[in-house]
Amino acid sequence: MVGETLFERYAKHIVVVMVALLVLLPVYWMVNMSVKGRSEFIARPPTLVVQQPTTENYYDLLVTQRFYLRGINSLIVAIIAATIAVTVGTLAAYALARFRLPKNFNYHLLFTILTVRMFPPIVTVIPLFAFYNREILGYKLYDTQLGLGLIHGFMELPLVLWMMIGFFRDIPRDMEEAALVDGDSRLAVLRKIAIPLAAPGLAATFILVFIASWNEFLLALILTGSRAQTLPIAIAGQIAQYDVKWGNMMAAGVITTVPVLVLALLTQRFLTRGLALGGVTG
Amino acid sequence: MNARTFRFGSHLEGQSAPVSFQQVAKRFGVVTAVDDLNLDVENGEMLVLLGPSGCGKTTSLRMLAGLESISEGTIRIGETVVNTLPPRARDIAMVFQSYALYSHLTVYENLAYPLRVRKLAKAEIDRRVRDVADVVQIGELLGRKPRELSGGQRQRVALGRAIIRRPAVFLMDEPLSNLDAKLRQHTRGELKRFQRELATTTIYVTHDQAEAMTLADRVAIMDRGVLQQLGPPREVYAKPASVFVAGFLGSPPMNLLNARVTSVAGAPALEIAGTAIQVSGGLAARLATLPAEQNEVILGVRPEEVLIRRDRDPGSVPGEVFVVEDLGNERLVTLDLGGQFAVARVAADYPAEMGENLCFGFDPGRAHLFDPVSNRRLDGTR
Repeated sequence: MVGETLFERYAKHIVVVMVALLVLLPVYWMVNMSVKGRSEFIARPPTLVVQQPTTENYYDLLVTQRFYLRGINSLIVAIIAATIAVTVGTLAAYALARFRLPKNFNYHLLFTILTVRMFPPIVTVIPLFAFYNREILGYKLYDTQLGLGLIHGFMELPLVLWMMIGFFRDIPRDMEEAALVDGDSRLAVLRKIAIPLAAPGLAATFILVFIASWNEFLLALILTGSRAQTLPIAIAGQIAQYDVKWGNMMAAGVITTVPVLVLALLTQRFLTRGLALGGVTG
Repeated sequence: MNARTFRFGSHLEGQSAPVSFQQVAKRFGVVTAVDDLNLDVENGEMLVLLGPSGCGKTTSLRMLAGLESISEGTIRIGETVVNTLPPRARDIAMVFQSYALYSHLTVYENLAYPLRVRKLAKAEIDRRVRDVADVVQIGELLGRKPRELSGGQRQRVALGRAIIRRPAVFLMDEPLSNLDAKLRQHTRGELKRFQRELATTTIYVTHDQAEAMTLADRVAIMDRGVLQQLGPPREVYAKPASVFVAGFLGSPPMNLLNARVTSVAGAPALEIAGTAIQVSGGLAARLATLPAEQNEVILGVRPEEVLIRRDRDPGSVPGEVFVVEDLGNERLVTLDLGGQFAVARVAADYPAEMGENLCFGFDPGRAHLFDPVSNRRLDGTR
């Protein structure tokens, strides 16, 4: 910028570096601790950079505890949750974005759905636990990937709805009306026009639900036992009756973070790309 | 565009059809957007719906397209009542003001869209896309996305997408309003040729009177949801049915002056801004036929029919030149007639100065009379 003083020029860089440090320090510490042996872990003062790196924590987790099985559970649950939430939420969002109900009912519906996020999940956990332990058609939802995925999807539905309504509202109405006149039904318009144009938003929403489910603790704790246990519960499981396996816990943290990080990095460009609506403006 | 090379051959899937609005109304809550619209559009005709924004012209078009529900009345395309049919069942094609091109598809896919929806064979689609692309001269752009096109090119794609299928009716919602002035005039001409060659019923919405006059077989002028006048452009221009139509058509619009009906020496006369003027010929005869209680009238004179006089005669009103505007090929002289203003269109070399005293005269045979209460035209003849 013209007329900047030296301080003004560098001030923003200094702030950026400070914020980055603040955010990244705990991550660094987690990685640092995960490769420390037991003796170095409890050293006073703590070593800022690991002196004798070891893989024993990872070995114990992955080989002895077969931690990756929990990862597979988490993956399946998160995919089920994201798929359900995005499918149902997108259809609902499109309807609410495009059809006006009388007496401002659109808004009331949206608000009612949002209330799902307002009460603490602990309130619903006990009845859900009872419900999930009931046999329905010879099948129990308790301790299943589907069961947990369903409830995660349901909990994230308001998020999907509110996000997708925004994306759908950004699509010019004319474009959809042109498709209607050209011979499409409403559903075909949704499939051929609205969803392709909202695809970046759809992907972003999918990933947000995926991450929320991946990290969710309370419902996963109560509604799963041993078979469908997810990563956050397994991390907490490192706290045993007489011992807290801090090294394992840090390694588990790393293992849990990496897949989400990779996912986010892979889709970063897609996620940040704005909606390209070139039919109307430049 | 060379419409002559455009052949649908044996692939006519639809025939042009007439359109009829019968007592059609549209209400949004307490607001009436269109009121008691009765309009018959003949087969193959180009009808232009003209009016200022908010006059109900676009709403009427959208009701015909099926994009807006109909509150009252009946709309027919051909013999079919289409009130409850979805847009896809109405056999129409529409060009939107924004063009509404599918931004995630290429030009080729945009053109092919209406055909693919109807599940035509691939080879047939390809042939017709290339045909139409030739006609609207976008053959070299088929692989591009809409955002890589100029405004004029987008407009051509939108037009191509409409004509690729031969519908019963074309609907055009201000298709030229996003083009710059030069391109707009050029495209206007092409559009007219096109419509004549295809001979498909076309309903064209615009607020631009020049477009309406040049394109229309008949113009329907609307104001505040009500159809004001329907007729060929020249007739509507020559015999405006109401003060609104008189003031809306023409640039600059018709001068509308409040006048009192009086008499001078037994002969009918008009009093404008306190000056009684003698009228003769047709205008005198028309004034004579007015009912006795008609004391006030609105006198309408087109700017090109104003006769400016240097010296006052019994048929003119004295005034002062308020402003002179040079347009290059002509001048517009605005006269202040004691608080009422009148514009005269005169030759470019006509001498007139601001503040100069000139008189406003007119050809009584070419003047219009309106009723100040009902705002309707006062006589059936000129």
